Amino acid sequence: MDKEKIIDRLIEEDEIASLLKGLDDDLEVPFDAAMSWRKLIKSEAKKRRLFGRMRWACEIAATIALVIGATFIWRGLNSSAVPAESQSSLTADKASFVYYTANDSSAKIAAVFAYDSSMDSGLSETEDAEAEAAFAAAAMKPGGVLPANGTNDVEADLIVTDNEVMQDTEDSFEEDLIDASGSADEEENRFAYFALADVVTEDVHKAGETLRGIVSEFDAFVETEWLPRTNAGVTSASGTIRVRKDELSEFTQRLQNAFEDCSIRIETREIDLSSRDLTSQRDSAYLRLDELRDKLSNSTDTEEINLLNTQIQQIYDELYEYEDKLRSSRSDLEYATVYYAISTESIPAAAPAPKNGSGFAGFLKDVLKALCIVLPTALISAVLTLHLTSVRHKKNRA
Amino acid sequence: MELVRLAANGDSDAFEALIKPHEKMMYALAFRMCGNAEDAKDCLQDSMLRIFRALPSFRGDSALSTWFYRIVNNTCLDNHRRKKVRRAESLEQLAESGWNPVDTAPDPQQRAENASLKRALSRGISLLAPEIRSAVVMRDVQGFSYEEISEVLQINIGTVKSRISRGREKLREFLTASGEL
Repeated sequence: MDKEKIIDRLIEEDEIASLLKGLDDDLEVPFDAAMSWRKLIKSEAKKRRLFGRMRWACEIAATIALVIGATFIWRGLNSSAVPAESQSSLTADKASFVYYTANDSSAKIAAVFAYDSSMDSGLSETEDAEAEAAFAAAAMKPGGVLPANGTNDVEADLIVTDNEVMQDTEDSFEEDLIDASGSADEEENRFAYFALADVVTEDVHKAGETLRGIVSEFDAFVETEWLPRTNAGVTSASGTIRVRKDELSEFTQRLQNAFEDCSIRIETREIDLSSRDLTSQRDSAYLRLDELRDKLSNSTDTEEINLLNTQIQQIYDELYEYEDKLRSSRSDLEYATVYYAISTESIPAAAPAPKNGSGFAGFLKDVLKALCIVLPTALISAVLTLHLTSVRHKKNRA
Repeated sequence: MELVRLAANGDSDAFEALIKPHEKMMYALAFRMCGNAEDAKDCLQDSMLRIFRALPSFRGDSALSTWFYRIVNNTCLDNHRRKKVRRAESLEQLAESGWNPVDTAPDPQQRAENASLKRALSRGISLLAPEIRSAVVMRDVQGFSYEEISEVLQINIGTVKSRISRGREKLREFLTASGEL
């Protein structure tokens, strides 16, 4: 390119630049554009003001809901562990008791717990109650594993464990899963039956013997049993019996015939929906398991294999949980549960839960307890959120 | 800064007062970047909303105007990515968009020539790549310094100069090809 051409080109470019300089001098913002963004900003500002006010209200409401929710969960956890009558009798007594567990029709002793808190545990009444409630919660779970040598110095010896539950090899686990899916989910109109039997008698021991005799006459078994104990002059015993659903009516009739003072209440609960939900969740977990297995068989990368193995293990855990619940619901469908209480005096039906406070003061006490549980988590979440926000701001600035 | 604080707290009047001096330039940038009035209006509106929402997080690291133009430019680039740019094809379209070339040249023939040249320039600008276009518009049409452009576009000054040079070269080629030069 010769010199003249370059000069011409530069002149032209300068000319272009000078022409461009005045290109938008006459350009005005169209009226509708100017109006529309102003309108938009006004509505945004209004929204923000409203949101600002609502945010405070929402934050307060959310905090209250969180605290109240946590309180109710806290209360629920402590009251749902055992039926009311069992709770009242549990805390009332310091004597030893025997826990039975059963798998299908063959009842077997799972563990014998013996403790005498007044002798050697050195725990307060509240701590005793907590220990008992924790034990009872574990005991009420189908095939639940009982705490051995509990943290509260409760002497506990695990004598027999349920081998079927404790098996952890993959093959037996899968067999277990397939077995548990069973026929339960094919039925329609599923109901679980419960009976509450309250027997008042002069001799609780004899009544217990009679009860066991009746149980042996039916396709039934004693699931849990708290041996007789005496508190404030009242001797009482309680427990649960599983009896085939179709024999429940006959069984309760037999109880009423056997005991002079025996009140029975029968309740039903539909468990079809939760069962269906569990079945679909389980099926979805199986699908995910298949996918992961396929990936695993095709994978050559060690890291990926490890990751896949972890994910597969997680799905096994999920499946185990689903199947456990399904097994439990199947058991509920085949067998009715009879909660019985035998006492020398009538036990009030709605005995207050010993752990929870009563009235508003009790509620506030529970609120404080719930706050103690929620606060650490809330604080950690708040710190994490603040940290993430500051990191984001730094990034934005960068 | 008081206006910024008020606007950041959601005061729409303060925001309007804050934007007012830059509104025309912002629209002009949007218009040149989009190549047509409709998209420019949308971009302006989007940009205003973005600015209003982001104002509480404005830290004052750059000049407020630079920050405004950066948002407008980014909004236009987003818009460009979303859909094909409709280019201003006719004078009517430009006139519709608010462009009103009042030529003060005394000679009618010269006025006609100027109008034709401006049309060709607009067309040429709209044909440039968006990255080059924004640099050329900011430098040659709106008179920003290289430093300001560098801040708005968040690129170094060397790149700004190179883009402007390439843009002018492309415009020169276009005008030569269309017989305007």
